[in-house]
Amino acid sequence: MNYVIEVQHLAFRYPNAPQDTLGDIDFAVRQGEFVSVVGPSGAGKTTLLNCISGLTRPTGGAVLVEGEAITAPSSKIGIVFQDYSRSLFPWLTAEKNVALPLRSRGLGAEEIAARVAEALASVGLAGQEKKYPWEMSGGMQQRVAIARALALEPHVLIMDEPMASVDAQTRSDLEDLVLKIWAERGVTVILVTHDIDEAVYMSDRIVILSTPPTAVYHTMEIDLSRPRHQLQTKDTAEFGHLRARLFTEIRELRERSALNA
Amino acid sequence: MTTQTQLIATQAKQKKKRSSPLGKVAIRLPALVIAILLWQLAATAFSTPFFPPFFSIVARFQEDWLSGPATQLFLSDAFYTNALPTIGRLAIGWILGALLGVTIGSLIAYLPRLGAALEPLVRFGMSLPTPALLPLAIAFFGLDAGGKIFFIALGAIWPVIVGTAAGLRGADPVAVSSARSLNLSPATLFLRVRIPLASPQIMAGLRVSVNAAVLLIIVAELYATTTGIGFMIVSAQRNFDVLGTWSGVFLLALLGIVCNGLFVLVERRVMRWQIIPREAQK
Repeated sequence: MNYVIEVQHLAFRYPNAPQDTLGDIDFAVRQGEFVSVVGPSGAGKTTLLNCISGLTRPTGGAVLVEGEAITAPSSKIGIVFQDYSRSLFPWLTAEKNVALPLRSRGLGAEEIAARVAEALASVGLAGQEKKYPWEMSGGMQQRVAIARALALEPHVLIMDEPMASVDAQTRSDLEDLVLKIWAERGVTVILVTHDIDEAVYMSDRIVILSTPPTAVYHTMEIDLSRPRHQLQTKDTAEFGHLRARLFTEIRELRERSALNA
Repeated sequence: MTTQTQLIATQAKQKKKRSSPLGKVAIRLPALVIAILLWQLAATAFSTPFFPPFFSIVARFQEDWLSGPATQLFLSDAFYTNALPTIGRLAIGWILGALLGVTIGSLIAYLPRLGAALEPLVRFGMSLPTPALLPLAIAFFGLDAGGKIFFIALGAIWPVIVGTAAGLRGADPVAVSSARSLNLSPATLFLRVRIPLASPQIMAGLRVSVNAAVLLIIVAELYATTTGIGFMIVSAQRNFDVLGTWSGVFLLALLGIVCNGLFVLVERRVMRWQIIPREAQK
C-alpha cells in the first residue's frame, strides 16, 4: 500500500505538563486520500497537525512523509490554518501573499506570475489579485490562503478547521471548492474539523481521536459515491446512517472519558 | 462583525476622512488664533525685553530664515549656514540610531542569551538621560559634526532597540507558524514577515526616537558648536538679541513639527494595512 503520511506512535507532551497531550497516535494516509480528523475539543488536533507538518517536534514516535521522517516544515506539505486573518500577511496583496514563498524559492518571475495566476484562478479569485486581505470577505481570504498553499504544489494539503471562521453559505462553498481542488489535483488532504456533517460529506475516511493522552479511538470508512453534492449526498439514507454513527461514536467517547475523569 | 460589514465601515470611514481636514482646522484654529492674539496684546501692553510681540518675532523670523532670493527657494543664507547643518546632523544621527537600533533589537530577540546578557545594559542606556553624556561624546568624537551625530544616534537608539526586540518577541505565533510552513528563506522570513509583524512596535520606538533626536541636536548645539540653530540661539542670547533668540526657537518648533509630520505621513503609508482595518472596527 502506498502511504503518503505515516503517523507512528506519535506522542507529544508540553514542557512541564503532567501528562502527554498526544499519547500514542498511529494512522496512515494513502496517496490521494481525503482523510478527516475529528475529536473532542482539547484532544490536541492542532498539535497533531503541527507535528505532521514539521512545525512542532514530537516528544515520541515519528511522522513519515513519503517514507522520510519529517523534522522541519517540508515543501511536500501545504497548510491552511483556521484563522486566515492571522495566517495571511495583511501588508501584502492577495497575489503577493501567494508569490512570497515562490519568490523565496528562487523561481523565475514568469513562472511565479503563471503559478500565482493559476492558483488564484483555481480558487475563483481571478481579478482580485491586487486586493489586500482586509479588503476581502472571510471566505475570500481563506481562498487566498488555499491558493498560497496550492501554488507551492504540495503533495499533501493539511487543513486545520479551515471553514470554522466563516458563515454557513460560505462554508459549503468552501467545502465544494476544496473537494474540486482535491479531485482535480490528486493532492492528498488531511482535514481537521469539529463538524460531523462536514467530516462525512468530505472524506474517504474519518479518524476519530480520543481525549488526552490522545490516541486514535476509531476510524470510519466513508463509502459515499463521488462526486458529492451538498443537497443530494446529504439527502441520502447512507449519509444519515454515517452521520448518526459518527455522532454516536463521539458521544460514547465523551461519556467514557467523563467516567474516567 | 463580518468582514463584509467591515468593508462597508472602511468605505464610510474613508468618506468621512476626506471631508474631515476642514473640520479639524475649524476646531483647532480658534484656540491658536486666540493664543496668538493674547500673546500679541500682552506683549504690547506690558512691554518687557524678554517677551516681544508675536508679530515682531514673525517678522524677524522671516528676515532671519526666509529672506533669500528665489534661486535659494527664498531661504536665507543664514538658513543654509545654520539650519541646514542642524537638519543634516539630525537626519544622519537619527537614521544611524534607527538602523543600529533595529539591528541590535533583532539580535536581542533572536539570540535569547545575548538578549539576557545585554538587558541590564539596555536598561541602563534607557534610563540614562542622554544629555548627560554630551561631554563624553565630545571628548571621544570632538566638537565637529561626528560628535553630534554620535550623540543623537546614542539618544535615538534605545527606544528602537526596545521596540524592535519587543515586537519580534511578541509576534503572533499563528502568523509565525504560517510563515514557517511556507518554507521561506531566512532572509525572506526576516525581512518580509518578521519585521512587518513587529513593525507596530518598531514604529512606536522610532516615533519616540524622533522626538529624542530633535531634543538632543539642540542640546548639543547649545553646548558646543560654531554653526546650527542652537548656536544661533545662544549667540543671539549672548548679544542680548531677544528677537533673534525667539526667531531661532520658532524655527526649532517648526523643525519639530515638520519631523513629526513627516513621520506620521510615512507611518500612515507604511502601516496602512494595520491602520485601515483598525479604524474600520471603531
